[in-house]
Amino acid sequence: MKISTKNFGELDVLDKDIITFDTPLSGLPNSNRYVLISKDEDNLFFWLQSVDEPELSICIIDMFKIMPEYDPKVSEIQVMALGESTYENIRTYNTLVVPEDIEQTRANLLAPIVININTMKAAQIIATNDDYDIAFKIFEKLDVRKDV
Amino acid sequence: MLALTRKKGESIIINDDIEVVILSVSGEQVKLGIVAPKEIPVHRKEIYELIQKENEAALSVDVSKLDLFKK
Repeated sequence: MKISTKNFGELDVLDKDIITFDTPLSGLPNSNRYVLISKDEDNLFFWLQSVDEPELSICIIDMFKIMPEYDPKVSEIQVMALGESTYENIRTYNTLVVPEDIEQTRANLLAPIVININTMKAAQIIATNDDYDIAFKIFEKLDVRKDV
Repeated sequence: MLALTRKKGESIIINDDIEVVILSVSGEQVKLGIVAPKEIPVHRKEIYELIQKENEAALSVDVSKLDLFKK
């Protein structure tokens, strides 16, 4: 099916690529079906584009790429609600905010978006780690990466 | 909204399996104890409001901004 996207025009997506949230993302109640769009050859940044609402396109990041020690503790029961999970079929992304002052770029480490790529079900789950910030500044980590 | 008056040590039951106990009351502060099945997430409301704010802010990221982070 063809969908209109906010940033990348019209895209052809397959039914099997559609990710479903049983509970819509907090603050974004008008859609529970998204596709993951990757335009970044490093597979660091992605877009979670709504299938239902072209304007809903959320920037997300694969934190493990820049912070290998990132280890959100999420409720096993909430992950199992997405379907049977193994280490291989679970992907975790974090919402990313890039303000005008890019040094203030931040990611939500406390509430990762967890996707089961077998069932294509997803949920934003609040981690139980005490030390993970909802607005964690990541500019320096990105900067270090630029110099690699 | 349902309003119930409870004393310290008393509790309410929601949906047969969630218990909210008043542990202590001190001035304006009330300490609650929540006994719920493990699959029921319980968090402070402020956390949800902050997550909502970040989700909304992630909507307005400009695609061209990400190029600044390319190697």
